[in-house]
Amino acid sequence: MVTEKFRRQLRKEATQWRSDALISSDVYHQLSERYEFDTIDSHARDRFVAILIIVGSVLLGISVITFVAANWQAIPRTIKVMLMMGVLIAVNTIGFYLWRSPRSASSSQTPLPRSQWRQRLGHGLLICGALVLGANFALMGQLFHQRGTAFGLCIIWGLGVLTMAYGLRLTSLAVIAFGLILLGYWIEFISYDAYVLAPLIRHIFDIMPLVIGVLFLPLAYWCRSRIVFGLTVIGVGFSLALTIGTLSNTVQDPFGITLAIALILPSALWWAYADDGWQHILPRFISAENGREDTDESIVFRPIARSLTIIYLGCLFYVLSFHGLWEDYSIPASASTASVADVFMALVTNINVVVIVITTLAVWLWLGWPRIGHQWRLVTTDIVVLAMLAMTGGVVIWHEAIAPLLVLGTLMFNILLFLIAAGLMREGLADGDRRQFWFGFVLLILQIISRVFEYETGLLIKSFTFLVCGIGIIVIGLWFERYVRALIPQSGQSLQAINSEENG
Amino acid sequence: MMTSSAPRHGDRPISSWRFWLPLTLQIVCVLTIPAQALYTHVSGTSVILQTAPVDPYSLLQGYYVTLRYDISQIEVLKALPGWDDIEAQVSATAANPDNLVQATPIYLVLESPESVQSGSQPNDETPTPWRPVHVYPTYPSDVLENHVVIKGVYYGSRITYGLEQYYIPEAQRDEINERIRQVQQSGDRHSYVVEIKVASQGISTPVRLWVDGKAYQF
Repeated sequence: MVTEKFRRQLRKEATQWRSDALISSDVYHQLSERYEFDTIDSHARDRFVAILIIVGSVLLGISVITFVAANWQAIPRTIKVMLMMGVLIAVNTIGFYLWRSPRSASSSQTPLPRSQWRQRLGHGLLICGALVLGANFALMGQLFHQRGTAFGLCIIWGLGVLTMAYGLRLTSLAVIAFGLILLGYWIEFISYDAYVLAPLIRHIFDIMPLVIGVLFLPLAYWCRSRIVFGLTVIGVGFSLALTIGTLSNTVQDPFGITLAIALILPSALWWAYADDGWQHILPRFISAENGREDTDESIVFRPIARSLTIIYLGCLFYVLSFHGLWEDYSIPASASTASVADVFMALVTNINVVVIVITTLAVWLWLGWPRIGHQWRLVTTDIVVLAMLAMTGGVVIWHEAIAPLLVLGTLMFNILLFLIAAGLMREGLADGDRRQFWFGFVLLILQIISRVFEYETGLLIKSFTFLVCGIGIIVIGLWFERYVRALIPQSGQSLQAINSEENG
Repeated sequence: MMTSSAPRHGDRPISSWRFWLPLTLQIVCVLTIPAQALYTHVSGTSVILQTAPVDPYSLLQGYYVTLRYDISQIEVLKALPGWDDIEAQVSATAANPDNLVQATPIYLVLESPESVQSGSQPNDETPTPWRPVHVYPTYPSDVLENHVVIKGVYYGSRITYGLEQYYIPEAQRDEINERIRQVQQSGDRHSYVVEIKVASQGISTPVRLWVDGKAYQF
């Protein structure tokens, strides 16, 4: 994008060039038209006026708010309701029409045209509208002495914002809605406030992984937003893990099966995530809304889901590599009468587990099959991830059901952590992928430092470890950065990939 | 971010209904709160509840009065007929592994005082509170004419009815606080009562406070 500073400078230089006879008048005029020299001053003036208007409006707004606040007690309840509704409608409506305002024809060239200012202001007002909606719910509850739960408030507020996000296809509103719903879920999870008061709300709580998936996954494709997709996948995985973890309480699972599944199932699902289903459903949907075919580029979110699996595994192995976790904490066998069959029944009758697993498998096999069927095979990374997940599950179950693993468990996960860190560094090197390399590198350093602090080691050894790690980071880091740069001339494409990742 | 926040996809601007439909839904959601309150107000029965003493330091938190009722005290309910059924329900709930939190719904039957039945209650005096007579684990099938059922939740150590907070304006905070304190110190419990409205299925809303012969309604 051309900055205004550049245009100013260019105008100055071009005038100089013309008087020095470096360029002809024609060229000057072409430059002048292309960079709209004559609008530079008027833009600055417009911006000044815009700032004046914004500052003035903010002050006016504050004065109105203060006036209302001062008289709030004296205002009859009906007027209060109308006031609150009025603010909700006004903020959203002004926001929408400003945001939608048509772009000026020259918008592609001028740096920050007025319409873009309007759009940003409108966008800001729409976000503000989402907050006003929450204030409306809270104040209404207070005015009418209705006591709700935090979960109920967050859910209804989040749903309200979500409808607007769907309507306007706005990533920012989608993120706010997600934050609200997940916050509500978390509050409810730790407090169980509404457990009996509202059966409907309790039901929503019970099927939260499905609710998050159904509400936000289509939105991620609809907004074409990697952020929304990432959040959705994390939200579904997180709530699914908590749901399964809760099952382990209710069935009194002495085998650690539920725990193992809670730890590995979400990441396994992430790894298996396929966009294929959406690529069948979505094109029609989006082209219908656009009125033209601009959906040739298919949206691929699979790499995000896979990256999340790797990040999750790295963090999980790091946590499990502490020996304190592998002490003998298991429930004495006599305390629980549940059999393996009971545990499995609890799992396969849980609607979240059933629906999510079956959907993933169905999309993978049924919709993905025609495309990948003839060349279907597990590539090396699939096998490695599968093996890591299976080992995690196996070790956890062994530890809980058969015998506490103590040293062996600690050792296993330290090896796994080392392997994943080394693997990431190797892959990062091979692809010239900075983030992958550095993530692996940081994991490795964390592992070393954690082990040094975890076990009784002398100060001298600690100092030596820090020395080695410090030197290691500097030397390997510098070497890698040089290596990446050396890699660039060989493949221009990878440079673009790296740059675009950095910028994005 | 910016690409997805661009208001137009393709050549046409976003049509207005895509904004107005969500906004209407939002407004409908917000308006359900007053609608529900209004419904309770119009269709509900007025019931007077006797308050119980509260720890004065937690009396006022923010903009609401914390209300405790006689019927919030477990000892009061334990003395009522039907409590054994609740206890049976509690042990059944505890046996069900799906219930992590031991919360049991209770339905409390309140009987109107005779002054209400005979219509002899003077308008300007603190009304006489209703008396709890029976407690059920489910909504009772036949309710007498002078009886009203309200729903509560029994958490094992406490009972809530969703009536525990009453929002008051900041300007009158100190005045109300002082009156409540005086009433509680004087030991005259009957001059501090709360009027509620009870709608169908025992859902209730607080309507006004009576403190020392004066009614507060906000």
